[in-house]
Order: sequence, then structure tokens, then C-alpha cells
Amino acid sequence: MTHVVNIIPNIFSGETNQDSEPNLAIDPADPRRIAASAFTPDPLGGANAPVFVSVDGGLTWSLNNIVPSTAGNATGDITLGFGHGGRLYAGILRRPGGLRLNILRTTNFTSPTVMDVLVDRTGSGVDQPYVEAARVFRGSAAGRDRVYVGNNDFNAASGRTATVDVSLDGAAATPPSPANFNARRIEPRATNGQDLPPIRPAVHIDGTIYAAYFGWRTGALTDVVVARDDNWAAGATQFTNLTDSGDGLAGQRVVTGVNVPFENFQTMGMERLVASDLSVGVDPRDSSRVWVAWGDRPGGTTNLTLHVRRSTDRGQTWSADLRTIPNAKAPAICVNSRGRVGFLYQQLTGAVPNQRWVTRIERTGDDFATFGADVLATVPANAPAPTFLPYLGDYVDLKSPGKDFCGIFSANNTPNNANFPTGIQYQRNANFATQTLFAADGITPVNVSIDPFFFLLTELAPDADVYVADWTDSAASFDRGVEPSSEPVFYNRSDVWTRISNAPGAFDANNRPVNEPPVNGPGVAGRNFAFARIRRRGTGSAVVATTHFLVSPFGTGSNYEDAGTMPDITVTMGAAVAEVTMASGYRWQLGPTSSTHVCLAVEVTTPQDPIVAPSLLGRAPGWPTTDLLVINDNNKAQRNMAVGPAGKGGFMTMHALIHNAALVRRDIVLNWERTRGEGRRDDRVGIIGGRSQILRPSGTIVVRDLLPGEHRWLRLTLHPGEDEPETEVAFAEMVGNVAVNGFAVAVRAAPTEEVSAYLLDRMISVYTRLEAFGFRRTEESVERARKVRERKVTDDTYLAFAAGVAESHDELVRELGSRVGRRDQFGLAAAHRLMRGALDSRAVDQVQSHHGALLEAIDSALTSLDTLSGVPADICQNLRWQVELFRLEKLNQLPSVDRLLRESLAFVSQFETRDVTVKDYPRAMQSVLDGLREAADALDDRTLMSRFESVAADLDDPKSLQRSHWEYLARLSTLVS
Amino acid sequence: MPDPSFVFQGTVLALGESTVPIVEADELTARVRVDRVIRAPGAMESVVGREITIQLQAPASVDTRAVFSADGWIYGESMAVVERGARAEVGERPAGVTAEAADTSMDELESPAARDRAAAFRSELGARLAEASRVVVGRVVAVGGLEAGPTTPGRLSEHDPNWTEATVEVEETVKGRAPRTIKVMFAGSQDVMWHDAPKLAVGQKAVMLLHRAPAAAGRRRANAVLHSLDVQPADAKDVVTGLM
Repeated sequence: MTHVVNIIPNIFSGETNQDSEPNLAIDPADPRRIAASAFTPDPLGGANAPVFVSVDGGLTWSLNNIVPSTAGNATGDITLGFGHGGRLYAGILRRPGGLRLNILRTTNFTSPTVMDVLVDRTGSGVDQPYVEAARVFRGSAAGRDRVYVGNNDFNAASGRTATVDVSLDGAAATPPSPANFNARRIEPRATNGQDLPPIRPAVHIDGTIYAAYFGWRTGALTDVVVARDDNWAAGATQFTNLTDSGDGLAGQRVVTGVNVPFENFQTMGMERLVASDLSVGVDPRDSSRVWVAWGDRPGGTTNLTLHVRRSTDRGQTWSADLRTIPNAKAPAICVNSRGRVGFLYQQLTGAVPNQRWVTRIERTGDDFATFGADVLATVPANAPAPTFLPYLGDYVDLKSPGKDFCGIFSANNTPNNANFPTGIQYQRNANFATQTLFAADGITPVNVSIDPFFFLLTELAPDADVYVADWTDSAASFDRGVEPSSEPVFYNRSDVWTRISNAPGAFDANNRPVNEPPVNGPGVAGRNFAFARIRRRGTGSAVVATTHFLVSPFGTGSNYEDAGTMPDITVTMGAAVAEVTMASGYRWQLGPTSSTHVCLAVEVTTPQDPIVAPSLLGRAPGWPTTDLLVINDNNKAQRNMAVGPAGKGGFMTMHALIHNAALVRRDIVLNWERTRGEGRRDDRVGIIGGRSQILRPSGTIVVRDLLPGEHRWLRLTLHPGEDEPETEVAFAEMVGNVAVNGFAVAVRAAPTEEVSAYLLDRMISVYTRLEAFGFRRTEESVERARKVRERKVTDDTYLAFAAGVAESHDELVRELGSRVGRRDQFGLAAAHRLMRGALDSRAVDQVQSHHGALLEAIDSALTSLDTLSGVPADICQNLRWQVELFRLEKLNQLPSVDRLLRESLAFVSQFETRDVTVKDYPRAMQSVLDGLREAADALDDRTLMSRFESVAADLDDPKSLQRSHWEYLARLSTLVS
Repeated sequence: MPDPSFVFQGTVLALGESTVPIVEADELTARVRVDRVIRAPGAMESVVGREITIQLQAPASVDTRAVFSADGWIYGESMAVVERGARAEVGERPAGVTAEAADTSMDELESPAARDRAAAFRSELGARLAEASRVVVGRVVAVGGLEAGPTTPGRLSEHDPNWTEATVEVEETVKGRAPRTIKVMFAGSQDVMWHDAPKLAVGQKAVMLLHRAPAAAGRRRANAVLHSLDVQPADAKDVVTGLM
């Protein structure tokens, strides 16, 4: 669907201004909130200039006078960018003042309050401010606005004028100028006295900042340069992470010595050419993929020619021209959440006197091997007469809030349907039959002028765009399906949950679903029901969505597997329905050997709106690349959240599995942050087997040296807060600046009776596992727990019960320790000892706390024990790792390597599409055995050969095969890496 | 602070209501009908008859008919303005007389509107005149060619004023002292920042309010015309002198 709107408000129908050079900003948290700008004055001639505002996704627009200016005039150059919390930033050339840079901010772009002036700089002059902003998702700076204002600053030394003004905390910027902005010079090379006007930043949420500029060298010869900073431009040096492969200086020259004309008079139709035709866009899924578009004048031509190129290696190397557009200007390029590229430009077509300005957008999903093109406007180029230059604008703008593309351009506003082939809507009074504009009275004819036009191109109609919210805070504040999700913690309040009965339960006061800890056991005892609330971004026609649920161990990095074997559940959304909660849940089973500490995920699909491949099946978010599987795809959601109660004087212990989902040996960096409640100083966190540390408000813990598929345990002890009902801490698995996955743990202050009930349920779960793993004297304890649980649990009944079961712990702890086979890394004995000590004192809080710690230790020990016998969810990771290893130089010449690679990749691919399952894994391994044997022979390693023989021997059991396969690969990796 | 940019006669239709969806109404928010525009740019004079929102400074009652002074705020399907300055009530409507009939009987407001515009012009021109170092009546006899490069070396910008030099034969000095022939700088650029600055052409005779040229113009102590009011038709000399 294409929607083009002339955004001049109806009440301003009498205007004939030249509203050129438009710009656009979209609130990342709510794409319905859009701001736009152009050379538009206050309709009533006041001292402030307006911005265009829309709160309905660009369907309707108003003007709001919030830009400081001078009476009766538009501001000078103006561009806009949204930060977090609705903060809108603007970069303007302030009037009066000539080349006077102002950087502005408002916290509410619909209020009448004039924007705050954060930066006010003139000196030798500053030109063409260009604003981009983003929010930091994780780490100590989480939540801060990063603001980047590209500008050509004549105050820079030695004529190296390309500059980016940077604020690392835009919300905290406080006048007077320069607030907390710093002008970062990004041109390291000699210039022809200066760089050319455009310095265009592009921001990725992983902290990668690109800045493209025209480095003016001599005469009309110019380099197109792309500089990069990998850490928000927050380091000691900025924009120096990308060095040129030729001269070694900062900023890769995409092309050198092109002719970029600077002709500040009518030279292209009635438009000028002032070397401002430059755009850069970064792929939101992968900051390594960056696009640049620019205009130059090749020899023998008179107008500008646009070029589009792409880099897949963070700007180091660039493609040849993927698109070349003659006679065109004002390129704007961006990439949507699916990796599709949009390219907007204005082309001068035809011959005088019948020339036309054609505004066109092209979209491609294959680097312009094929593309679609839409003509948004084709208007006469010889009317109206220019009032000033630029006639249409030195730039246009294109943005992508998720899947869609939104843009803005200026054009002749004759109300003629033929001028707008994809359709058009005017807010101002117009008669399309007579092609006449009218003033606000609807009677007085108004001359044609230049107006700004907003457009929305939906890649997927809103009513077809189904999603599961990653977060909900209230009935009015929730994830509206934006991609990427606008909240950094996307796994603790999502719309996927599980219950132990087949009813979704009521939503809580925050309009969030209430998750229940699942149950494990044979048959009905281990039956759970998964639910999702499915939304869509619009209504219109009915859709049928399919929900598919997956589970993984609680923590981060563990690969997901199907939650159950039952057919997926479909949910019908009526034509007028925007939100549906599954009335009946997806039945899934946790067997008696399974822990009830799980992460739950859902993938919702329709024929029109499938998930973005790959599926979570056999994968963990963030791996094998750092593609953010969940937050970049609104069809996926996950709940990695553990909540437990603790008495006021006690604490809760929780363990989380930290699994290396990568295909390389690595350290796993976990950043934590308290997301609710202040907590207490005796809260602690640590890796089991290592030292613990105080759980401060935020911090980092590094899990060292994990092979692919290897895991460690994180232990967390949380005390309920003094005043807060719940204390929560969120952990994020970091790869560079990106939080690729995470989990959250919360403790809820509760009466001791409630804690006792929780512990009894937990004990039933853990002891069920013990029984399933063949431990003795557990059945009796489970039965006793069930009996106690059937009645109201008092402190006395709980203490009596705990004292009884403690008797059996000595033997259990010994046996479990010997089965796990290593020293008591889980602290079973200590937890048991502490529990007994607490029982002696009859301090209920303390007994409960140590009892809980013991149960967690037993549960984790059992999971580790289970892992030793194989993890079916890791089968695909094994195969992907195998592919990586056999591509290495030491192995890639083996006779059977091609087959091994082919079969391995085929299995992974077919596994995702469910054309093969775990039971087909042995057959796939059978087909690659020759390659494994050849590797063992070639490397002449007895251990590897022994492990190969184990693989061959385990071909009848997928679970044990996964383990022997992993051990083979682990050995192989040490030999070839 | 400049005068309110919108002066109109209107009738309060309702209180606590807004005609602009994103403006939340409170007790000082009024829905009014614009009965007559007294001060507004030309493009907004056609809002007569439209209902708009005004955020009042002080309470009013429904059916109040008054001359409101306001600044613009939000412009959409309707618009919202913020009242500033004194409000002059127009008077009670006689019983049995419709609002429209009452409006047509109030032609006396036409001349205040015209007076308002003229007063604003005189005020602004007077201010420029006071700031001017010289005021001359003269004829442009030559205009220097546009310089090839930026006016300020090392500062190539699309917003360069493109300072241009005109030679003016002075016929009469109205303020200050001036030789028979003077050089006058003006911004030749058609850029958005300068398009409304006065342009001089050979043969043009005008009253010129001369100011000291900015340093960036590159001519020390040069005369310059900078503001749209700095060049007036020659026959406006009496108006200018009348303001001195």
C-alpha cells in the first residue's frame, strides 16, 4: 500500500510558500508519532518557526510553532531526529544569524513550548546540520539518548571541516551551549580549504555510527568518504575505527576524485546543485552492511548522476555501482527490518519546456539485481517560479520504522491526480477536477506552490502484520510491533506465557499476562499450557495466525526446541479485531527428567507474514550471527523470566544456564542491571565454581572460555526489597555493544506461608526429577510434599516437613555429588548444612532460603547430569560448528569434505523447516562419518579417533549421539584451531 | 517581545472545548468563531468564518464577542492560538439581532485593521531607520559582477550571501553625510537565507537605509542594505523622512 499526503494543514490552505527541503523523524517507540520539517514559516508570522507533527502515522498533519526563529520567517536549514521517551532533537541554522548552528530539543513535540537551545555556535560559521539520534539499549549508559549532528563547521582547523556534534546523553544536555555536545572532527586529510556541505550520520543500535561526507580535495574533485565509530563515538578518539585501505587514514574512501559540482544558481531545471546529494544507511539487522548513495557529474554530462554502493564489511570494501541514475538529485537510502533497501530520489525528465520532476522510490531485496519502483510524483518542472533556492530542497528524506518505508519530498502542489500515480491525499482545500487550490474559506483560489509530501509505503499491510508484544507496561503503553523493539529488556514482560491449566488467566494491573511456573512429571503431572496474546498493527480483514511454541533451559544461549509434539494452534482474528488472546492453550509436556526452569518462546505466522528466517528452532537469539532474532522480528517473542517469593528476612536463590551458542570458543559477557527495586547489598551473583560478587545496581560478569555448546551456571541470590513488592535484575548477553539475548530474575516479598507453598511445589518438581534419574528415597518425599501441599501450609507444618526431608538429604547429596562426577561445585553440601542449621534455630525465613538454595543446586546438578548424556536441542549447533571446522584449511581438502558440508547444511536447513527431526540426525551423521574418519586419520590423533568411534557407536540414539558428536568436535577444534 | 501576530474579532462558542485533537482542553480553552481578521499574513486572512481554538489568558463566557490578540500554536484542520495581550470586548449584541447582522454593522473595524498594518509597517521601518548610519535617495549606476568563489575564502556554503557591490549616485542625503557616489553592498544570493534581502539593479532609484556591512562581506566600513525594508521606492521618501 502506498499513501502519499500533502502535509500542508487545511487551515493554512491559503499559503503559497516554497516549502522545500523536507526532513523527517519517526519516534522509534511509536511510529505513529512523526515530525517533519521544511522551509515553512509560522502561518501567522510569529517569531517561531513550525515543525509538522503527526500522531497517527502520517495520515494527518499539523504545524506546531516550536522552533526559535525570527518573525515571519522559516528557520534556516532544519533536520530532525527522535531519541527515547518522545524527545525530539533538531539541528537548525538559526535566524537571524546566518551560519549559526542551533541544536534543539523538546520533550513533547505537540506542546507549545519552544524547543530548548542546547548548542548555539557561529564563529566562522556552521552549515547544513543533519540530525540522527538513538537510544542505548544496554550497559551503564542504557536508556541514554545518543545524538549525532553532522555539520560542515568552518571553525575546524586546517579546513578539515567535516564534523559531527555528539551528545552521549541528549536528555541530560542542559543549556547553556554547548550543553554536553562535543564537535568531533572526522576529516583527517588535506582539503581544498574545506569539505563540502553534507556530513550524514547513520546510527545502528549496536553503537556503530557511520558518517559519510564529501572530502573536497582540489578543484571540483571530491572523495566520497565513510567514517565509522564502533562505540557510539564515546571513546578517546572518535570515528577512527575504519581506516582507509589505501592511505591508512580514518575513513574509507568509497570513491576518489569525482566531480561534485557546486553551483548555487538555477542549473538543473530551476534547482541548484550545491554538493549536498549524499546519503548513508545501515542495515538494522547487521551493522556490517552499509549503503551509500551520492550524486556527481560525470564527464560529458550536464546534470547530476546518482550512484548507489554497498559494503558488507563495515565500510572497508565497496561494491561497484549497484544503481546509477542519470539526471537525478537528492538521494536518500535506508534499510528496513527485513534487510530490504529503499532508495528515494528526484529525477529531471523530458526536454524543455516539458520537463518534469519525478520523485521515485525503488525497493530491493537482492541488492538491486531486481527491484520495484514507484513514482510518487511527476510534476511540471517549470512551475511555480522559484521564490528562492533550493527550489525543491538540497535533500529529501527516507526512513524505515520496521518493515515499512516512510519518506518526505517537496514538489509542485497542483491538485492533479495524474501527477501522483500511486494516489494522493490533500489536507489543504483543493479541487482535483478543476486542478485548483483554494484558501481556508474554500472559495478564494490560491496559486500553485511547492509543498512537502509525506509518504508511507507498507511492505506489509498493517492488518496483515501480526505480532506478539515483547513488552507491555499498561493498556495504553505496549509494544506496537515496531522492529526492532524499543525496549532493551524484551524477555520479562512479553505476551507469551505458560499456565498449568488450560485457561489463559486474567491479565494483571499492568495488562500483562500472569505466567505460572510449569510443572514436570509423567503424564498429566507434567502437562502445561502455553498461551500468547496476538496483536496486529491494524484491522481490515480477518487473518488466521498460527502459533508455534518453543522452550529452552532458563538462562541465555540455550538452543530452543519445540515445546511439544501437538499440532500448532491457529488463532482467527476477525476483520475488526486487533488483539486476540488464545482462549485455549498449546498443551506441552515437561517430562519427569526435565527442569521446570525454562525459557518459553512463540513464533506467530500467517501465510502473508511469516517469521524472518531463521526460526528459533535449534538456535538461540543472537547466534550464529548477532542477528537479533526476537527484537528484530515482531513475529517472535520470548519469556526468559524467573520469579520466586521470599520471606522478608530471607532470600531467593536462582540458577541460570549460560550456554555458548556461538560457533567459536569465547568468553561470554553478561551485563546486569536492576530493573525494579533497589535491592540490598547482600544480594550476590557469581558463576558456580567461581567467586561471587555483590550484585550492584549494574555490573558485568564474564564467563570464561566456553567451547561452542558448552555451558556454565550463574547463581544469583536476591533479597526482597524493604519497600518494593518485587526486586528484579535483568542480565543481557553482550556481543560488543549488542545485547543479543538475556534473562531476568525477580524476587517477590511474600508471606512465609506462600513461600512454603512455593518451595513445596518446587520440591515436588525437583524430586520428581531425582526419581526419574533413579535416585532412591525420593518418591516418599514427593508424596509427603503433596500431602502437606493439599492443606493450608503453615510455618509449623512447613518446618516439620523440612525437618523430615532434611534427614534424607545426607545420602542424597552424597549420591548426587558422585553422579555429577566433580567436586561439589553446586554447593549441595553447604546448602544442606545451612538448611539444617536454620532448622535448629526454627527461623522460617532462613530455612526457606537455604531449602530453596538446596533445591536449585539439586535441579542444576541434575540438568548438568542430563547434559552429559546429550542435548537434542544442540544438534544443529553441532552441525553448524562442524561446518565451520571443516572449512578450515587443515580439513577443507579432505576427500569427503564436500559431502560432509553439504549434508550438514542440508540437515540444518531441513530441520528449520521441520522436514527432518531429531530422529533423522543419526542418518545425517551416518552420511558424514567418512569425513569425520578422514579428519581423525589426517590429524593422526588417538583421542580424536576414539571419539570418532564413539560417534559411530552411538548412531542408534540421537541424544547420546549429540554428546559423542560434541566431544568429537571439541577435540577436533583444539587440533585445528 | 513583538506584537501578537494574530488579531481577530471572534465569538466564543464554547468553553473547555478544542477544535484541534492534539490540544487537550481545559477551562481556559475556548472554541471561537473567527468573525473578522484584523492582523494576520495574507494567507491566513481567509480563516474568517472558521472555528478555532484559543487558549485564553483569562476566563471568558460563551457568546463573548471580542477582539483577541494571540500567537499561533498548532495549525491543522483547524488551529489553536494562545491569547496574548489585552482583549477588547466588542459589546453586547442587541436583542433580536443575529451575530451575522451584528457583524455587518461593524464596518468600523475595517479601518482599525488597515491602521494596524500601517502602524506595524511604520514601526518596523522606523526601527530600521534609527539603526541606519546613512539614508540616501540614489540611483544604481553599476552592479559589480558576482564573485566566482565564496565571499569568505574557505567558506563555500550554499548560504553564502554572495555579497555584491552596487555603485549608487546619491541624489539626496536624508540622514547622515554621503559623497556624491557611494558603494553599497547587498546580498546577491537567492538562497533561502537571503532571498528576501534587497537586491539592487542598474537604473533602480530608491531610498536606501544604509547600514554597516557585516565583516564577512569583506569590505571594511562598507555600506550595505540588509533587510527588506532597507530599500524603499523613491516616492516613499516623504514617508521615511516623516519617521525621522
